[in-house]
Amino acid sequence: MQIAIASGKGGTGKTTVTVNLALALSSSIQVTLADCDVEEPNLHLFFSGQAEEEEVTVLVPEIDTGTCILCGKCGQFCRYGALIVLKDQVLQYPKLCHSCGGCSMVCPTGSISERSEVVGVLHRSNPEPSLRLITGTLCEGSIHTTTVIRAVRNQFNPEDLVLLDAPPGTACAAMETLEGCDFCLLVTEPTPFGLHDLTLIYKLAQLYHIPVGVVINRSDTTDSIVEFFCRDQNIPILMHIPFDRTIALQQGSGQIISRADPKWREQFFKLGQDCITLAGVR
Amino acid sequence: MRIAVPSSGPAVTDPFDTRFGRAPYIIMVTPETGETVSLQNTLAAGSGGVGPQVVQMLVQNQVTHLIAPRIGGNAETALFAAGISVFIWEGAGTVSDALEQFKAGKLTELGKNPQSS
Repeated sequence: MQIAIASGKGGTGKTTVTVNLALALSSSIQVTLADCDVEEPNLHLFFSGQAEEEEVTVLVPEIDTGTCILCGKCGQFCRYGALIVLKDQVLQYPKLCHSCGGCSMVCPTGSISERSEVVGVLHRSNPEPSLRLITGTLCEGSIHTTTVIRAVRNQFNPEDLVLLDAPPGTACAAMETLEGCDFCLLVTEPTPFGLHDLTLIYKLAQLYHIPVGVVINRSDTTDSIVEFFCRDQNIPILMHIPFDRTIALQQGSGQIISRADPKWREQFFKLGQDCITLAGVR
Repeated sequence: MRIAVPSSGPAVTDPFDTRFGRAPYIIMVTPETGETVSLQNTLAAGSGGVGPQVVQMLVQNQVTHLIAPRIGGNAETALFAAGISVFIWEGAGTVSDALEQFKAGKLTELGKNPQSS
């Protein structure tokens, strides 16, 4: 079963919810935690332990200058400008390449082969007895966000309970993370911005027919702004996390609130059970 | 010599465009013959890597000089490799104005000291 934790808006508390949910559930279930926010992964900050690394690669063209006749076909074909044919040479921009392989197909002299280019790294560790952490990290400057997320996803086993920490927003990276999930927990804050982006990520989840539940973080006196929307759309609100200085201090110093406080552990365990139940309704 | 100038429209009386790769037109002038060719930039709406692709187009059109307001890193590499001399004009005006500035020797060549007048 795969449960995504997403938010639309950044900074609403996805990571807070994810690490607490993972810790609470792993007390009785084997949990795989996946950091799919590959442009800025941060789950590893909350856990210790040695991680093993694996590179994520894509294929980019390599040109045999001995047989290339500078015909220009590859340069005309590549709509991303990764190959530029000049009068006396072919310029290559591997970072612009989308790895479609088209250039090698249109080359009339067979001068284009493909080589691997590293675009990201996977880190795998076991920070807790029943918790496996997989982190995807995109190389700086690379465009292959979804490739690295897919590499993280390829690490899952079908029988795993997986919690996926989604990237903020509703663009390709969030879509790649949500696709195929059984449930999506939407973390929001009770502000007009929070509601606006909650609406966007809710629409995305609907597009994939993924059942959702909401967590209101920094819950204060303005919760009704989100509650009205949820009531209207028939979305269950599964938890309120108060706007509380102690929680902020603990989170900010890299601690997990449900590790220190059994009451929070209990609440997050129940949140996890609710997610699993609601996912099963599907 | 063939000079390329990014333009907002197809004529030399149209405004000099403040973008290089995404200008809607590229106007090419050969001062020796007075020949002027207007090229619609079909690459302007591309999703990425537009700069280098426009350089490739300039090479196919035998361009030797380019007047532009600024150049991105990828385009600059390609222009340098193609041996196209780039002259920076950050002013506002028409394509003709840009050409006048160039002919008067008032523009700075990219990677070189200011043109001595």
